[in-house]
Amino acid sequence: MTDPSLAMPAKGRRRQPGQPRPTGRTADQDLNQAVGLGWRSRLVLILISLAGLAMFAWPLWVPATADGAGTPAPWMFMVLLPALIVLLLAQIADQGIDVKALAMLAVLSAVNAALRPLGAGTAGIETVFFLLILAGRVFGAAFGFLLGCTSLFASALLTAGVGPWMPFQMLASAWIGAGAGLLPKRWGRRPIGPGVELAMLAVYGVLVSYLYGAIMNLWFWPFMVGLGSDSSLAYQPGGSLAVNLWHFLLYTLLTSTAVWDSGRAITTVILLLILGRPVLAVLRRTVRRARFDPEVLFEPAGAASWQPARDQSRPASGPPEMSSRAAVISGGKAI
Amino acid sequence: MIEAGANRPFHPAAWWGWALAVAVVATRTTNLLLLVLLAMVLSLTVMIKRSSAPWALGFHLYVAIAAWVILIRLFFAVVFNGGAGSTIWIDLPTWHLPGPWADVALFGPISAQGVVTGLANGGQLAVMILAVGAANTLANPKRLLAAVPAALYQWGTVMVIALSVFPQLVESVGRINRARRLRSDESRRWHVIKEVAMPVLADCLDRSLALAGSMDSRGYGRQAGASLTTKRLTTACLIVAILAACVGAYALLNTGALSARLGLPMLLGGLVLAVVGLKLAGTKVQRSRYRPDRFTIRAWALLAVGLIAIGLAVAMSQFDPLAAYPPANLASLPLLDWWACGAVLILLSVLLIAPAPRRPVPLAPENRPAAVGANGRCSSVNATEVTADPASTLPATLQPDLARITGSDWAGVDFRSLLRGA
Repeated sequence: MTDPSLAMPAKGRRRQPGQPRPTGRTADQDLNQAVGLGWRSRLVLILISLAGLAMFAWPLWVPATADGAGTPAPWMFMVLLPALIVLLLAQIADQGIDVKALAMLAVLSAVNAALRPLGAGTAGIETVFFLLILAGRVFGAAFGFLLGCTSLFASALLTAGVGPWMPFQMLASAWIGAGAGLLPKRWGRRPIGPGVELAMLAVYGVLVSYLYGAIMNLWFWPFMVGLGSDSSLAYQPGGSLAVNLWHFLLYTLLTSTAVWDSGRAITTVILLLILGRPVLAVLRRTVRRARFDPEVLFEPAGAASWQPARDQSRPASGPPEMSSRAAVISGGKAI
Repeated sequence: MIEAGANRPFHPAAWWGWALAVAVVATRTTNLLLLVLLAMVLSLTVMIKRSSAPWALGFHLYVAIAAWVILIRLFFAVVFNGGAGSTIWIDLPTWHLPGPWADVALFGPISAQGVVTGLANGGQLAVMILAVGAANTLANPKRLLAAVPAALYQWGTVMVIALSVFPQLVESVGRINRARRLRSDESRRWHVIKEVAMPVLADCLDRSLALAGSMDSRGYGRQAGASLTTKRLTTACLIVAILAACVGAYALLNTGALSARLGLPMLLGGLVLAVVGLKLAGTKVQRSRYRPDRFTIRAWALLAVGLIAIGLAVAMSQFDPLAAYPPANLASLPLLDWWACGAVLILLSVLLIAPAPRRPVPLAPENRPAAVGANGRCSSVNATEVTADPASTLPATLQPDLARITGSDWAGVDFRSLLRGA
């Protein structure tokens, strides 16, 4: 870490022409996000995440119906959530995705789908999360989000797991992948070392294992215990937030935290600690080979056509900021 | 594939429409008899109409999940004191957990009402799970991927590649193991991560880059000059659609006169805007299709059957609530009224409408693939089925490249041997 260029903040600096492309092994060099989202896609993603969170938590806020019959909320959300995810994916695809990122998403989804049946259903062994976390870490938050969606979908197709729960699983694991991408890359001005990084990812893995279990319980819990029965674990339609929250906490602590969620947390941590370093190395090698750079658009002065130029010979001085996929070079100033 | 012209399988969306209609009917009733009948309709249809493809072998998994949901419901009704009601069957003593868990009461009286309510609500969910399972069993999921709207074309491609790479993983593991054996380092078991898992992963990622390069060089992902205005309009449509859907759903759930009037129009408006947005987003995707599935008259008939059944179920819950939501006791059996009988019969008519399933002539035992069974996850059958279809969603020029890179032989040529030779 003696090279001063490595200590530069990743955003807002242009790499000078002629300066070598940074090559390193730690998170500090994951400058390029595999999928860069424009602000519109980010807006849609945030909107849908908020809506999805509300749908996960429907037992806590949906008011009771007047006649006391079962509320239509869960059925409605089982339709609405997949529809919203479709709209989000359409929006992201509309803004354009690098073909390399698409191929990478597909291949990592296949690997995840192959890993999933290894531990499916046995005492909460969960083999999906660790690769999701590592990929989100290396390829960025947006890629992690998309990988969460696609890998759960692919594994559901392969293992007869398509069901009303699938959109919820997709969104929850998408958040896990995105969260891994949002973890800090540097501590103050110093990049995070490999050991600290692995420890951070392991702590994150434990956290999301329990959170995933809790949130998947949250929307499904009323189906399991029954609406408004006298049980002290049951969902009370229209009951106060405190009552329902307390009942839910009791339910999830008693039924799943000890076995299922702990099993998931332990598996994730063990896999992260054993495989984390080699997998990170393989993924970072791929990032360096793929060179997820912004596409350079050549645009005659005044015209507003949208023709991405996907040529291989990229100029050396693309702006490193990945907030938009494309660096538009306008006014005929071709490089 | 020879008889394909005469008896093409359904458009997969038709099956999904029919199965989701059964699920909607189930949400309109807590009548145990009707729920059991719906489950039987689904199971019967699957038994008669499913093909012998790998995805059609998984229905028993859905049955197991559905049974599990009902059992869990009954378990909670008994153990966690959830079965209170007036008709007491067994009067167990109530027992409270010690310490901070004093809120939690275990056991207690078990009543008929509690058990029947648990069965009915669990049964609703079980029928829904069976319905999704039936759709997944009857419709080819890969044909469904091929039929996704143009706006989702890229995601369809991702899924197709993922499903095609899956069998290739097995091949990759075998190849790397063979190389290990040649180097004769089989003795060190613990090095399996370093010497098998990591090379397989690296191999996969390298192939994905090669595939991406191949797609790139053939103009995959080109966009047909959509103007900036179109892009902005698309985004605006999608965002407004999302907001409208969320507001509409929230309004529908609130019980007020105004929100009831606001809710449905907002939801429908959101739906229309979403369709417009998807259409707009799809305009710039240029793709060619190989033998697209068509919506035949039979497929439309299947959808119509589903809609009629939904209509009958809604009518039943409006005009005959006692039959739709019978009182929860076992003193009298729940009755079926004409609405319910009509819904079940019209759903059953799928057996007449749907074409006969395609089942290949059984192979002689010595030719049979080794690993059939095992939840349809087997490698050999999946390998042929998965790689047979996806080609239809990719441009024809790409197929040899994809085949070469994923190691499968779509074009009928054994590209694996080429790859090995290279």
